[in-house]
Amino acid sequence: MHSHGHTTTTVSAPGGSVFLVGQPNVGKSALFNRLTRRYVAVSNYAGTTVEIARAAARFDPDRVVVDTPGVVTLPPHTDEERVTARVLLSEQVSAIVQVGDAKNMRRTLQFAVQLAEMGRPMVLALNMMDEARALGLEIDHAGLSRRLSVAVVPTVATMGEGVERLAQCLPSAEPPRLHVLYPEVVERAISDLRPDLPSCSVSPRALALAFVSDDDETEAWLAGVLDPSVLQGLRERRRRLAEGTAKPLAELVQRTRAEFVAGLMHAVRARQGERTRHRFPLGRVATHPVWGWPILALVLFGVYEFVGGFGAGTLVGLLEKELFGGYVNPWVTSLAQAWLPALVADFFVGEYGLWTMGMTYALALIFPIVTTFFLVFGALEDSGYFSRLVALSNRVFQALSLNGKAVLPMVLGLGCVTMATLTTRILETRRDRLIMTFLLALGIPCSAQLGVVMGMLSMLSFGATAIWTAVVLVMLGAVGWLAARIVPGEATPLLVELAPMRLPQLSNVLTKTLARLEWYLKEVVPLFLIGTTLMFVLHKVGVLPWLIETGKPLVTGWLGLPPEASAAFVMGFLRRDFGATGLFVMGAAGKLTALQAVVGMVAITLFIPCIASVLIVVREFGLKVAAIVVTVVFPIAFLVGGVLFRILRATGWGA
Amino acid sequence: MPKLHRWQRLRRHAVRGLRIRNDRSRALDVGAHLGNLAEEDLDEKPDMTLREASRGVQVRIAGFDVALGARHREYLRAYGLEPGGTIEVIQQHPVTVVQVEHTELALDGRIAAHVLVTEPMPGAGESVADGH
Repeated sequence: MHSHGHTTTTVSAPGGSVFLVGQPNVGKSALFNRLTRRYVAVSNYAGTTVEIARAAARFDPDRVVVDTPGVVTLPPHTDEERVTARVLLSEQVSAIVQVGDAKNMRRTLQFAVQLAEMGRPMVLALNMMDEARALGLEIDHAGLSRRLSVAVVPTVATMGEGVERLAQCLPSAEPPRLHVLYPEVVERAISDLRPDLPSCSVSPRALALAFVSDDDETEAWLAGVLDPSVLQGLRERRRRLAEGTAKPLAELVQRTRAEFVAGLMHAVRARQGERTRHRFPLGRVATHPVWGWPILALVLFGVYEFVGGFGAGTLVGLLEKELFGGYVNPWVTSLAQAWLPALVADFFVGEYGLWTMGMTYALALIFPIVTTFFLVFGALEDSGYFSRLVALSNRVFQALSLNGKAVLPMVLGLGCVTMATLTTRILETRRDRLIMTFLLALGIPCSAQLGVVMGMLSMLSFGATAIWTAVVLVMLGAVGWLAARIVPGEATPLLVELAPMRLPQLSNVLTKTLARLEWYLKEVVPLFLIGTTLMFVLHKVGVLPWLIETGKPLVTGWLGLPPEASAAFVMGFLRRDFGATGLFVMGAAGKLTALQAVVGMVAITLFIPCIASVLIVVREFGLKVAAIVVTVVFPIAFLVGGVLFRILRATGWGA
Repeated sequence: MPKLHRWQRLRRHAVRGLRIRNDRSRALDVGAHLGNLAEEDLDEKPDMTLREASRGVQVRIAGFDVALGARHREYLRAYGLEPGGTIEVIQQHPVTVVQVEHTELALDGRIAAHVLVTEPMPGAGESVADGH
């Protein structure tokens, strides 16, 4: 099992590192785990939010192996792909290992040719060889190796097969002597422009090819190293050289490569009669337009039972009431009160005590819930179900001017909105991420809150639950629609690979869950503690009671709730479940009518998320965006609550 | 070389953007200027867009509409939807799902509407879906 540490440093070791590159879903991470020792450092690549994992190699402790984000093709189009491209362009490389999917050879070879032309020392690992064999594929890797002039090693990373051989090839990895001959006009352009391009770690020919192909990333890099006038001159020459050709040069380059790959494909033979369509049954049903939905309902029910029932119910009960409530907190309290001056003791164990409130909340309440949630999430992720869910729900999200990928942060938000805000990274454009963040901040109740809200609503009536659900969904739709109009940019149509579904592997699930929990402990818990400290200070200087007092008229006059509800809202910012619990307590004491309960639940659900998630928004998107989100969501929650109150009152419901 | 010998070249200079006519008459070579035509040589007459293809059929990629952005074009080609290649249509609802080699790809109908395909003649050429 690997353990993780998080830093922000540069990537390579002197003498260069071994970089794993490849398309998504090829098993890079599995191979990375096989090649490296226990401690994995995860760092943000210089100046980006893209994470890179690196660790010492097992086969040579002085060597570092780096796992790069998956790249579909070069030139890069996403932030993650740009990082990989930059790594290839500029980093000290001892060897590149392209990890390829052996059962999708055409795609693998297409990428291999691109990489090989870059002229960096390279080895090709054909991974998932077991699946290829099962499909009846026979690959002449010796032949491929000759024609690509790259060592080709079949591997099965999940079993460790071939890894030794791969490690042995690395020290002697050489730049491939591959020379694909392009159409004359392209070759002329290359030889004309090549001498005047700056030198860099990739071969001059590859750089010239990229430039000739109008690659944005290459241009950006050149703009950084060349005089503007020189670059302009090169662009002029490129334009002139491309004149007179029917097709853009980029197109000719791509065509030629495709033909070369078609030639390479003769090394791959399929035993006749093997058909893959029978191997996808479960995956096919999951995206079935009719059956996909009941399956989803089943999955959600299972998640609800495990996270809500076991996690939020059993585990939290054990930890919060028994362990913390019964043993730890009384002990800590008595210790603090005995040894510390009154104010300091109050700071730690008082009403807004750092330990009794902040830490207890983080460890006894949220931690067990997010642990169960992450376990389930990891299992679904590893099984490949999520890509199917993305495909199935795509239409739904199109209505919000997003695409199906938004389902992931949304589902994760039901566990922890803070973490979900981070997961918005999987959305391809900043525009999508902003819209998603708005939606998360507005209408997604995290597990802490959801349990209490559900409990309260079920105590009332089915009608109450229906009203709450309807209002929240309508608000999500409305805000999504509005955000799409306001945030500049176009909607991103969906394009995603549906990797074969399989039984989730326990080791993968545990590794990912542990990594997420570690992240949670290191990044989120401190935010809760900051929030608690803030509350303590505000309480001590009298601002907190003042806030509650000021809020009372708003809460009573506009929302029609009893004045005590004001405290629930103010507290709800620190601990999201406090908002709901505060109302729950009032309801249980008979102080709320059904109407008031529903209005209160709706308002508290739409209300801004907890302080931890707001701080994460600040970190991911900046202070300005966070301020906008808060100032927009806050009034909306109250507005909708008040309107709902008046509507329900007018119809005489639940009085 | 692509299969020029099997199909007639069809080049039309469209006045307003690209309109592929489902014209089975002889092709007219209007010279090197392709104008607004999609960047691909149309070696075959595209029957339809991928979006219109029926479930369960195999289709050959003829080319891409100019309206398809560079990013999506490059991604599609990287995944194996190369002009001349064959894919199988798995479903069209709620998203378009195709099988390329030994993997499945889900794409928005709006992207599929910009991918021009033909139904290959029986016994024609290699099939990408076979992993060949």
